[in-house]
Amino acid sequence: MSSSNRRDRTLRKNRTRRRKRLNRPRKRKKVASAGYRGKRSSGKHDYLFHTAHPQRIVCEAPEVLSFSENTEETMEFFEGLRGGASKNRTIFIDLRRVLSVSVSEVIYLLACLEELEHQHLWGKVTGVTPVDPEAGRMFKASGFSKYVNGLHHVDSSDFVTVKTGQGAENTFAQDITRFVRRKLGVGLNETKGIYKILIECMQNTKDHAYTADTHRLGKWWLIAAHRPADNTVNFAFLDTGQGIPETIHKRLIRNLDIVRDDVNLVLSGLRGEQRTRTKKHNRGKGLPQVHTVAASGAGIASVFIVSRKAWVDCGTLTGQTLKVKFRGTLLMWSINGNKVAAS
Amino acid sequence: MNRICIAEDYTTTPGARYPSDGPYSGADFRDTVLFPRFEQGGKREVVIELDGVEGYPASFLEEAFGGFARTYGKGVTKDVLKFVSEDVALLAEISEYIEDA
Repeated sequence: MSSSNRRDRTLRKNRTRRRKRLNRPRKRKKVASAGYRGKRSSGKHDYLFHTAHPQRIVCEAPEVLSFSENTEETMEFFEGLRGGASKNRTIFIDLRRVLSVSVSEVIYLLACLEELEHQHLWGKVTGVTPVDPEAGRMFKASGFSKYVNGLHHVDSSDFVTVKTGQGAENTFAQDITRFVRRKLGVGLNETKGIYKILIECMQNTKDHAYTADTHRLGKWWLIAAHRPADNTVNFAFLDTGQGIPETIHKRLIRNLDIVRDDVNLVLSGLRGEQRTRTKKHNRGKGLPQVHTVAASGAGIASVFIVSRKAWVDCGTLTGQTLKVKFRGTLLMWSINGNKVAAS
Repeated sequence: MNRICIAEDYTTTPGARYPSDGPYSGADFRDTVLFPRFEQGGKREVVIELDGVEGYPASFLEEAFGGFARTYGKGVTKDVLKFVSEDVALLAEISEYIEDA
């Protein structure tokens, strides 16, 4: 220890002893208001600025909270929520401005909150739901309220409330297909594709999404909602694992193949070009089946996969690269009752 | 004739590939229904009715019937397993899995 350090330590000890002897309270450093950077001390170290209360982060959602209609702002909102989380912070989620939101964003927000809680990364989370009645109903009737305090659930026959699981839950998948048949007035044959996709997604999540070192919840989320205005049922299936591109990328590295971007990695999986992590030749049927169902038409308006930086249309096998990385894999699709009747 | 109606004899909600993935898996169907019926029927023709279920995930079909082919061989499988369904695409899918087994 240098002589100057030794001297400093001695001075501090003496000050402490003197203060205790005189029974004086410890002087507190001046606290700075938020935004005030303060002066450098004449010594070697800057001041550390603390607010008088834990930092409060406000995450304000955009008016159009939608991965499909307002991708960049929506992704930035969720990234801000995840990035702002820490044990010493209060997070306020402000959804008041939201006018348009779908089931995908609802379950992704729910998944974010559950993940943060699982990783003990939040001090306190509060928030306010949308002022717009339709947008607010999306949160209150979807089952979101069952996972957060202070929000009342509203029953609605237009929703299959949020379901979660870790493996194949056949009865949940059947609930969805029955809901579709009831709402759209279609038969069993028209919903077989939906059932197949759901079971495959559940299995894929269990087999591939989470590894031992991802430290995530290891589960999936599922939700469906009927939109009477255009007679459409929208679904969303989500996991917060490593993402399809990462899973396929690892196989490519093993096979010493060329490195591709996220979009092409997902497309190769949909085409069935890659073997699965299990390395067995008879595996890897799940993603190609998603493409087969999506491309078959039969009333399925659209099937999209969002995973890491890939946004892919599963029917047309086209995609685009996102600016912000999506953590996990989201499968969104809709089935239009009018198109089913016409086909 | 040995006949299996999956919707009546097993389930209307076929599952994933293995029992560890969830209930009514392809492996479970193969081991608890298909193999025993085949053996008990003297290894003769088995008619399998596929209609009336919610849907057949690819993993279920591959493990059930592709797995059967891996045990008894593709030739025997094609000779003894007769599939009945209104869904032509489903029949083609099963044939593909048996062929690739």
